This record gives sequence, C-alpha cells and structure tokens, in this order.
Amino acid sequence: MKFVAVTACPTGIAHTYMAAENLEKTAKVLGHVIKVETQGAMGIENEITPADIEGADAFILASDIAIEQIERFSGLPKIEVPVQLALKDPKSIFKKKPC
Amino acid sequence: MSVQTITFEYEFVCPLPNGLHARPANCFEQVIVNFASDISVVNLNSNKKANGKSVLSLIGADIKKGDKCLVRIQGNDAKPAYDAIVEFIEHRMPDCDAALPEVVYGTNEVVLPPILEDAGVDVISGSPVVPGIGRGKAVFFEGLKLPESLDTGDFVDANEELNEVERAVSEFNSDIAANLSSGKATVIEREILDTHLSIANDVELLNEIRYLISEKGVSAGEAIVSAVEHFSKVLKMAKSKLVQERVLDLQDVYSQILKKIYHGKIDDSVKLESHSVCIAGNLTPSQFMSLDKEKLKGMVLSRAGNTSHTVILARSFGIPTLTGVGEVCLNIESGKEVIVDADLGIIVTEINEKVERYYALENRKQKAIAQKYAAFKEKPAITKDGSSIEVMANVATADEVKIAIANGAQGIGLFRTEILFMDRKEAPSEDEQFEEYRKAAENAKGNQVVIRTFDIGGDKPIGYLNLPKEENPFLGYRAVRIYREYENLFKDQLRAILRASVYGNLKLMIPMISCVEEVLWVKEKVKQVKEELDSESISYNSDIKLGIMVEVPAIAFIIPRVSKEVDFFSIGTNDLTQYLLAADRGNEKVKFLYNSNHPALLLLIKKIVDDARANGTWVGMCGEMAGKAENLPILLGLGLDEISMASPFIAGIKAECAGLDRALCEELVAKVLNCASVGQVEAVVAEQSHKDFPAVIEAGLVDLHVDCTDKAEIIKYTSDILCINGRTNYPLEIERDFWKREAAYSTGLGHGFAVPHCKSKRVKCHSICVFRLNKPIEWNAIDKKPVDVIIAMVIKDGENAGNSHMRIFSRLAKKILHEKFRNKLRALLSEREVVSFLYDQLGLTDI
Repeated sequence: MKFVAVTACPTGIAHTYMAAENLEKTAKVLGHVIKVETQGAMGIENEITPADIEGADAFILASDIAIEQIERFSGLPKIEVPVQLALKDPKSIFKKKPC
Repeated sequence: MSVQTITFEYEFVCPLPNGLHARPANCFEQVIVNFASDISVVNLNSNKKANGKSVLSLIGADIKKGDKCLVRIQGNDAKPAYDAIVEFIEHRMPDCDAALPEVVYGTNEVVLPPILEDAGVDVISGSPVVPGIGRGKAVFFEGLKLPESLDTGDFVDANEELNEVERAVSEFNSDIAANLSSGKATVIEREILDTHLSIANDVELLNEIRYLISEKGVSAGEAIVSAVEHFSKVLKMAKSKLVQERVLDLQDVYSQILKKIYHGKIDDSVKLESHSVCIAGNLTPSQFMSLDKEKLKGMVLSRAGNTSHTVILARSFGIPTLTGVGEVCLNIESGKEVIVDADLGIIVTEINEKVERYYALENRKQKAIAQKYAAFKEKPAITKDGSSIEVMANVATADEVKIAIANGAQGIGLFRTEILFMDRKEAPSEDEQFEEYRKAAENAKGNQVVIRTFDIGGDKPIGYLNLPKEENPFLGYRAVRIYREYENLFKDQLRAILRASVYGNLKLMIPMISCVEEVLWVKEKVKQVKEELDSESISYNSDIKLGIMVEVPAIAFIIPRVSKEVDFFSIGTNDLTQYLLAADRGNEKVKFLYNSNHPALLLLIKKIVDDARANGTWVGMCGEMAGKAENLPILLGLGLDEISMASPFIAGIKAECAGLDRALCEELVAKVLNCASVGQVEAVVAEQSHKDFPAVIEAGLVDLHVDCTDKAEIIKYTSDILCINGRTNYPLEIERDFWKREAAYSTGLGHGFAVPHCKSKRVKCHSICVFRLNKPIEWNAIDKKPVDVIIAMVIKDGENAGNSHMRIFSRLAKKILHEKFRNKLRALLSEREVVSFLYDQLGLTDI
C-alpha cells in the first residue's frame, strides 16, 4: 500500500521526528511505501504535495496536537493515532482499518 | 454622701474585617481615655475580658469579625461615656480600619522546586535580599535584656525605680513625636510609630509594671521584663495573626525603654555557639557587626527593608538573608535546625530525606560554580578577544574592604560613608572617620578606594541633623545639597579622608551632583581643607583624585563641561534610572517601569561614557545594574572603564566576562540603542547570547556516573549542569520547563532511554546533555522498563524555525531509535568520547 503521514507532538523537538523515523522504518519492513511529513519545531518538513496525496491509498495522522493544513487529506481514508503509538507499536498502525 | 455609681451596658457585633487589632483598638482607646469611668469590653464568644483603656488588653481579647461583645461602663461619667462609645461603634468604628497601602512582601512568588514540593515539608516564604543558602540552629534576637550588672536580689528604692520608668517612657514618647513630626516617615511607618506610642503608654501594662515595683519590690528592669512577658503570652494566644504580630512591637518598644533606663549597660549582642540562623524583627548594623560571621549562616529579618543598612552589610558579607517574613517565624522552635534559602525565598523548618537530597544536589551545583569562579577571583576580567574591564566592590565599612579584595575586587568603586553617621546620637568625629578611612586604604592593599562623601537625607535621614520635613525627599534636600548648611560636618569628613589618603590609594567622590556650581563649591572646600592641613603641617596626598556620581540626569548632558573640573565619573544607576524614568522602584504600582533595559537609559549611559571618553575622563558604574551577569554584554559594549558591585558577585562577573567577546558586545549595543522598548532590547540581548555558545554539546554536559535516585533529581541535575556550564542563570525555570513537557506524557522511550526535553526562554543556547546512571530509575517509559541513559535536550525558545542548529535535535531524535547508536552510547568510556561520537553522528563539525 501507499501511505502519506504527518507526525506532530507538543514541543516538536523529539517525538515528531522519532515517530516519522519509526513509521518509515516499519513501512519498509512491511513492504509498504510511505512519505512522512513532520510538523515540529522546524516547521513543516518533507511536505506532502497534492501529487503525493493523489497517489496514496491512506493517510496516517500520528499527532497529539492540531496539525496545519489537515484539509489537504480530506479525500483520503484516515488512520489517526497518538504520536506515542508510532514509538510503542508502529506495526499496529499499519494493521488498523482506515476510516 | 457617696456619689451613686451608674452602670451602663452596650452590646455590639464586631464589624471589622480584620477584627479588633491594634489600629481600631487604638481608636477605641482614644474615644474613652478621658472618661473617669471604668470601661471594660467582654468578648462574649470567648469570655475574654479587657480593660477598654488598654490597647494591649483590648487586642488581647482577640475580638474577631462577627464576635458578640459587651461594653460595661461604670462610674460618674458613665452616661456621656456610653453616648460616646455608642456613637463611635455605630458610626465610626466600621470605617476606622480603612485599608493601608499594602506592604507587599516576597515580590518573587514562591513556587517550590519539584523535589521540595514533593518533600511535603512546611516552608515559610519571605523576600530574599541577599542570595544564598544557609543552614543552622535558629537563634532568636528577640526578648528583653537586662544589664549583666543588675543584681536581681538587691534592695531597690521603689520611688526611684518608678521615676526611672516614667522618665524613660516620656523620653521614648518624645522620640516618637519627633520622628512623626519630621515628615520622613512613610504612611506605614507612621502607623507603626502610632502603635508603638500606644503600646509604650498602655495603662494595663504600666499598671502591672508599677505594681511589681511598688508591691513586689523588684527593679524597674525586672518589672518590665516580667510584665512584657505576661502580655506577650496573652497576645501570642490570640487567633488573629495581626494580634500575634504585636508581640514584636511590644518587645521592640520596651527594649528601647530598657535601654533608656540602663543607658549603655545593656549588652544586646548575641554570642553564636554553632552554625546559626538569626531570626529577628530587625537588627541594628552594630548588632550585626557583633555577630561571629564564621558561625552566622543566614538571617531572617521580619521587618528590614531591602536598603536597610543591616541588609547592605549582610550583602557584603554574603550572609543569605530573607526579610518580610512576618511573625510566622516566631513559631520556629529556638535551637531547631533550619535552612534559610534566600535563592528561593524560603525558610525550611523541617528537614527530611527529600529536603536533604535536594540541598545535597543544590550544594553540589553551588560548589561547582564556586570552584569554577575561584579561578577567576585572582585574575582581571578579560574578554575572549583580550579586552578588559575593571571589576570593583561596593562596601560600607573598612572591614568589608578586606573581604572584597579577597573576593577578587580590583579596588573599591564605592565606599558608602553614610553608615558611619547612622544609628548614633551625634556625628562621628574627624578622628573616628580618619581611622575608618585609613583602615580602608590599608585593607585595599594598594588598590584604589573611592570614598563617597555622605549621602544623607532622602531615604537616609539622620536624627541629629534635624533635617526639615519634606514632601518629596528624593527630589529634595540630600547629599551634596545639604553640605552648605552642614559645612563643618563636610569639612571634617574631607579632612579625615585627606589625612587617610597617605595610607593608600584613596579617591574622593561627591554624590547627587546636578550642576557645575556644586562641583566648584566642593573644589573650593577641598582647597580650603588642604590649606588648613598645610598650615598644621599634616600630610596628605595633594594629588587626590576628585570624582562625582552621575545620578541626576541633568549632569549627563553636560559631561564635557564637567569633565574639565573632575577626574572621574561613577554612574549610580539606581537613582539615575529612577530619576530618568520617574519611577520609584520601591513603589509596587510603578516599579515595573523601573528597568535597566529601557532604551532611554541605555542611550543616556552611552552618551555619558562617550562624552567622558572624548574628554579623557575615567568612567565607572556602581549601581545594581553593574552586578548582574545578564547585563554584562551591554556594559562591556557601552565601553565603561569599571563596574562596581557587591563583592559576592565579582568572581561570577569575571567568569561571565571571560566568555564574552567585546567586539560582539559593541555590535549588540549598536543594536539595542536602536530599540524602541524594553522588550525589544531583551529580545536582541537574547539572540546575541547564542553567539557566545556555538556548541550544542560539550564535555561539561556529559556525565557517565550519575547517582540520582529518581526522575525529579535527574531533571534538577540536568538544569544544574546547564547552569554550571554557564548556559543558564535560571536553572529552576529550566526545570519547570522540563516538567511542563513531562506533564504531557512520559519521555521514556523504552530500551532504558529517556529524552526529557523542552523549549525555554531561559537558556542561552541550544544544549544537549547526556547522562548514564549508576542505578536505573523509574521513568514510566513506553516499555515500562527502568531508564539508565538520559539524553536531555533544551532548545532556546524564540529561535527561528528552520535554523540549522535546530536540525541537530531532529537528527538526534531519529538516531536514538537505532539500536546500534544506543549500544555505542552505552559502551563509550569517557565524556570526551561521547562528545566526539555525537559530533560525528550529528554532523556537528560542519556547523
């Protein structure tokens, strides 16, 4: 499957980036394709474009805060989890049913 | 035929929000004092009975709001007395306790560090006036003292003793009256003086004293001690805090009266047996000086102000001191071990294990800082780019000069002489002053000592000078302005300073100069005194340098002209700031305006320095602004020759200086001079401070053998390490920022790793700390396993997003997820290896 994802956490210093790293690592292991955008202390990085969304099957939102430009993903099935889950048990995220 | 005695009774409910404390009791007493009838007040709720004519007895009845009371009036004039009382209670009493200007104690609201909060111990908060932490047995400076020579078994002549009491009380009354009419007392001080007056003349108390003397045959002194003890007990039993507080007043008043009875025979110094914390309403400077400073570890002065002379002395001796504690400190058990923490503004009265742990960590931090500073004591203050600034001390006595030089002072930038003139009946003689200045010169070991002639008046009134009442003493008759009227006093001081000038490197400085005429007048007097000394063949340094304080804004605009008349300038920022911004820093409502980062003040100081420089005149600074490390970049950039401060700050300032770059400081000043507001100045200063600490990690931030026992200790330790390494001056606030983040969810990542992190305005630059723990601790981690490696990250808040420095943190965060990285970090043997490993992994070499 093809995923797009956004990670964000309260201070945007650690968990945002760790979650992104874990999602990428796990997707690879499970044989998925993923692009993860981080919304942390450095602002938006690795920004997900309309073309990325066009080609994606589902959207993963791993965040504890309201993210910017969420409307971009309104057309995609969504898996929404706390950012911590991406650290605790990233595999389970990919098993969830998008809605 | 006996006159018929009539009894009147009147019941009322106390309407006073604070109960019948000293002030309303005073009003009540005034209403009835001239009636002959016996008038009693019974608190029907507690059945406590009081003599209506005794303020002490009235407040001792502990009448609170809503208490039902009965007034009973018995005597010939009972009817008019009854009418007056009813009129008072019904119409005037509710308004007789209008709110006084509030005395705001402890301007720093106390928020306990997490460990102490967790310790669950009682603390008393106060206003820190001298920073530091001291631990020792509580020693009270209260209670009344009798002369040692007084033999309590002796026969006494009752009449003589009674006369002595009357004389002493009436002397005390006239002192207070003089004080009240001088116009110098603030509203709050007047209130205290009024209370003191009524306490000194309290009917019940005086009756008790008289009874003890005439019926029990004891001396005046013993009678006073025993009567005061009795009433102190009654007051202490009251539920109202306001009433309990009168105990100190009662003891204060009668210890003064005892001194009047026994003149110089009462030795009220206290000998300290072991490490002690002194607790008192206030101490006179002479009482303070009599204490053994080796054993004095802290002071709690419930009523001394920030600028009281005892506080100024405590500051120069570095004795941690709290004021504004209120009377709760009376509840501390005498002899019990307590901690005065004047960094936090608390007294810890119960020392349990967590308290011990907290102070062990705190002590470790302070020792580390002191050790780091020790290296700087002996050295001059030199910046990274090799430029220097002289760092000197502000002192008030010759003894302090010795301490200041030992603390690393390169001289004395300000020797305040007022203290020689205070707390005494008459001015010090020329010889007495000479001895003090000579000692100061000798103690300075060849370094300069700038002696400022007396700055009396304003907030520093002196009884024996009889200075007139003033509406606005700070804009009035003080310092150089009174020298013409007290010319002999001024000339005596000049003679003393000149005579002492051959014993060292003394300089002369005049306070509060506002125009050239004052300078010329002073120079004329100096010339006259020199001629007198010549004619008496007394030697002095004929080339003694003369300088002035720059504290009146007007003088700042005519520096080039004044430069022709003087040898140096010293900027007194406390008054200069108050005068320039028209904001009294002691006024709670406006003190927020008093800020040394105001661009107008910075522009003015820049002008003073530039104009002095252009005329080849030396210029220093001796206000509080000079002693704060965070101001140093600006002070260096402004180009001052010298800064002078309380001596405990000196080594820290020199250390701070070593980390700064003069060229960058000058750039900073160029920027702040263009700012429009305090906020902008602070932002520019914060941004600049980053440049002085480019490395996000260094060996000092790594510790591979940490023995903290829980998360709270680790977080404190991390903040302390940042402080020790000069990355923050506010570790406690960093600690709180960490906790704010921990409150969201635990930063325990699993695999034994935790990454506490935060954004903080209080850190000077981005920082990463790495710790390995001797024993794993609980961190509520994702995998529920204990943690033994801590990687703490602090980002300087306000930094632009996208800054290349920030990328380090996201890189590090990602690395931690990799087992190889974690294993390596666990295996490295030294702090240096950790630093170079991280440099390599995070690509730090290229930034």
